[in-house]
Amino acid sequence: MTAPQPVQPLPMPPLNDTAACAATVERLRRNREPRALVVGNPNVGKTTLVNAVAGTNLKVGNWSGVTVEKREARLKRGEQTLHLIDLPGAYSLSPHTPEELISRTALLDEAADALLNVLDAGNLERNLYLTLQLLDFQIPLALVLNLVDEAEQKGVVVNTAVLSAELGVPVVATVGSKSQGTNAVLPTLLDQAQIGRRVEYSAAIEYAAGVLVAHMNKLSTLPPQAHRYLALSLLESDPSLRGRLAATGHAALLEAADTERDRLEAQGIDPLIDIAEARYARASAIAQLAIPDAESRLTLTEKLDRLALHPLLGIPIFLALVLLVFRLTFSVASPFVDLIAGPLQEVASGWAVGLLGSVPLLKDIVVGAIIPGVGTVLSFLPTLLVLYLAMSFLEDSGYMARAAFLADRLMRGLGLDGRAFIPLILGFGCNVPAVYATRTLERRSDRVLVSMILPFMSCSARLPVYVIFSAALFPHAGAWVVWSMYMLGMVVAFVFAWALRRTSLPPEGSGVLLELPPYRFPAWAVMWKHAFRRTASFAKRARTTVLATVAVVWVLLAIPMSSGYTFNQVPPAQSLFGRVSEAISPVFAPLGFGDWQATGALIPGFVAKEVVVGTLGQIYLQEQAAQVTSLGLIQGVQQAASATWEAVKTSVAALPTVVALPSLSADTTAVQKSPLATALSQAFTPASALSYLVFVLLYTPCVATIGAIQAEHGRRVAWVTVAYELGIAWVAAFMVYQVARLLLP
Amino acid sequence: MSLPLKTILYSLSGTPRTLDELARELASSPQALEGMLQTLYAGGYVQQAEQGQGACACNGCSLKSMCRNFGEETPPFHLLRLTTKGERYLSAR
Repeated sequence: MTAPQPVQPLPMPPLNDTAACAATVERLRRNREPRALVVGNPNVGKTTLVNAVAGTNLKVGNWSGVTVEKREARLKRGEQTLHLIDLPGAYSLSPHTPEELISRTALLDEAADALLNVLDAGNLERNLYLTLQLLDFQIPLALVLNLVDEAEQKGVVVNTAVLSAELGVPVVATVGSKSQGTNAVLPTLLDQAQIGRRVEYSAAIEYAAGVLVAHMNKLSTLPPQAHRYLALSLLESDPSLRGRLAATGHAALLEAADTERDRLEAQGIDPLIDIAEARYARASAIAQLAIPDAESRLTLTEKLDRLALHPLLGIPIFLALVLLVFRLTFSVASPFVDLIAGPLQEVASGWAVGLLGSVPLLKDIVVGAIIPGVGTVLSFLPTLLVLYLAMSFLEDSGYMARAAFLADRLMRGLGLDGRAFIPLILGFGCNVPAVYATRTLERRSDRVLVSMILPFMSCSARLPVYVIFSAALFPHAGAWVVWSMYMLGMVVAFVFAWALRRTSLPPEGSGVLLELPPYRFPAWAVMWKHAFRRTASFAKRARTTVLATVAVVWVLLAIPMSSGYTFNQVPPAQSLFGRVSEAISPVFAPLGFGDWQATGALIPGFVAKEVVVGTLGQIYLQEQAAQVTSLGLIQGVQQAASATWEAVKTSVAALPTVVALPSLSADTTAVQKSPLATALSQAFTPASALSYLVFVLLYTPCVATIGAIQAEHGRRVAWVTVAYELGIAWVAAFMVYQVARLLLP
Repeated sequence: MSLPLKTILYSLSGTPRTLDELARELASSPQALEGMLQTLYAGGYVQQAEQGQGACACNGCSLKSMCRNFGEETPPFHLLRLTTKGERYLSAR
């Protein structure tokens, strides 16, 4: 036996021997399977391409950012195995998103054997910026020109041979989603990828980059193939790269980079701008060579805009679309308006009589004022909801921006500031915020002028008046009547603006830069959200302003002005409200509606225009309200459900009438109407109804609008507005009545 | 068509603009400009002019109660403006 010999440790290279480490890395690299990185802009179809080439099933999406981390596919070609590493989309290697940082880090750390750069053929110039950065890496590169089918649809045909020659790397054209050309990707990548022609920067930049590359050549800790890229990024002062180099002990390199930057800046050179501009210029030059005769086929948006913004057709198309909106509104919503104003109000009144029968005064207020007054106003919620849905469709589809563009042109033609279209279009919703919107106009004269014509723009509060009269007297041409009111309001506003401009306010119109977004099909959820919010705002006014006003009118209708009557026991004509209205009514006799009921409804309309229908409901339905009998819960529910089903059927059946031709004659058919519409059809003729609508459109706006004008421009302007609008309304209504009674039966 | 980055910076000086406005003013396309703006953004020459800040505040706007850009939804119009670095770059040239 011999004593055991002590075990001698094997000689190990010292840990700080960088040369030995580099040798080990190189040995491992030689022995490992080759790796290729798939790089490209977001949403160019990288993952689809990888799936098509490798037969994998990585997740694909039709939007940017589907790949948020690198993913790997292993594939074989004969005896050769290749790892394709799918990187997140990156517009550049100057990272400012996590995805770009992941891609840049992989390029620096993965020691790739080759790069596969996927480009969108339809957006070549933009995609080439990244390609030119990749060429700063000394790594063999192959290009895949993907989505060539979509590019050709846009009229873009890329000459791949020219592209390949300019970049010095092979190019394969593919449609990844259809596996077209994908068979050539792998052979090209494995056999033909090469280090291409890099961008030549200005002499000063090239010199500074050379200094830094020389510095890096003395280091073994930075990948040699990335030296040029790193040098340029340091000159660009890439903060993430500087942070990484500082953390890995490259302070001397950073100092050298700072020295070079200072030297360049002392020469008046901003390295980041210079480097980026050189790349963009090169990308542009290559794109022009590779796409010599782009025929710039029109996109759908451009085709539609040729019609929508046509100098002659633009305005008629706009008017036709507005008419279509009103026709849709009528066809779909009218049955529901009649449902609420008729059967549902009857059921609510029946229940109120049953519940409040023991409190007569309260019952009278609810059945005689609130239900016919507020209920009538609320019955127009379906109309407004459909209208707002249609308007949201026009806004979200991108069409309203075109309408604004057309209006802008018209504004300037009238000598108005181009921006005046914003408050005027807002005025279709509500005049009050529209008056405040005149603040966006620079000159006071413009602000005053636009505020003075704004009330002629028909706000949504006036719509219920148009709708109930149209249903009563023009059931087959209701949409045309409403459309005419909106058009008349605009015409009067523009004529008035034109006249003012030529009398006291000289034109100094200015252009306005408008955003014209591409057309798109709006999301239903968003449309519904906008429409619901606006309709809810209208409903809120019904339970505040309208409720308070109808309560006051009810009190005035209950105060007797003749002996022999007591409070709330007086015929409407003998009430304080009736007497005052009658005293004023001769003023309106030449307009065709000289009775106290029609006149009386206009008075509370000063508070809010929708109150006109509420008051008409109170006046004309008061007699019916007195005859309402109690209704049981079950009976009421059955009655309401049955009427609702009928309304749904009528609404669906009426859809085809959206494109029907109008008839302006008075209704002679037995179309079912709401009680108020029936009452109005007996009280008005078609001519007097049109006159009434014109007066409602043009007469003094609500007190809130007057208050807004006073707050913005002073009391004098507010009173002048009240006065001239009353005058214009009277004259216009008179003219319409005189003409209409000759033309209409 | 590629544009010198300086041209973009000049267009943004003084007035914040959206990508579409810039594209129209410079007779370029939003797609072509987007990459250049990202370069300038990454380099710290331009920034997003966020609503509620500075001259782009919604608070002074009379339309905010009706504007879908205000508050609840992602603003569809991204305004871009120069940073101090961008202004300094232009003033040095």
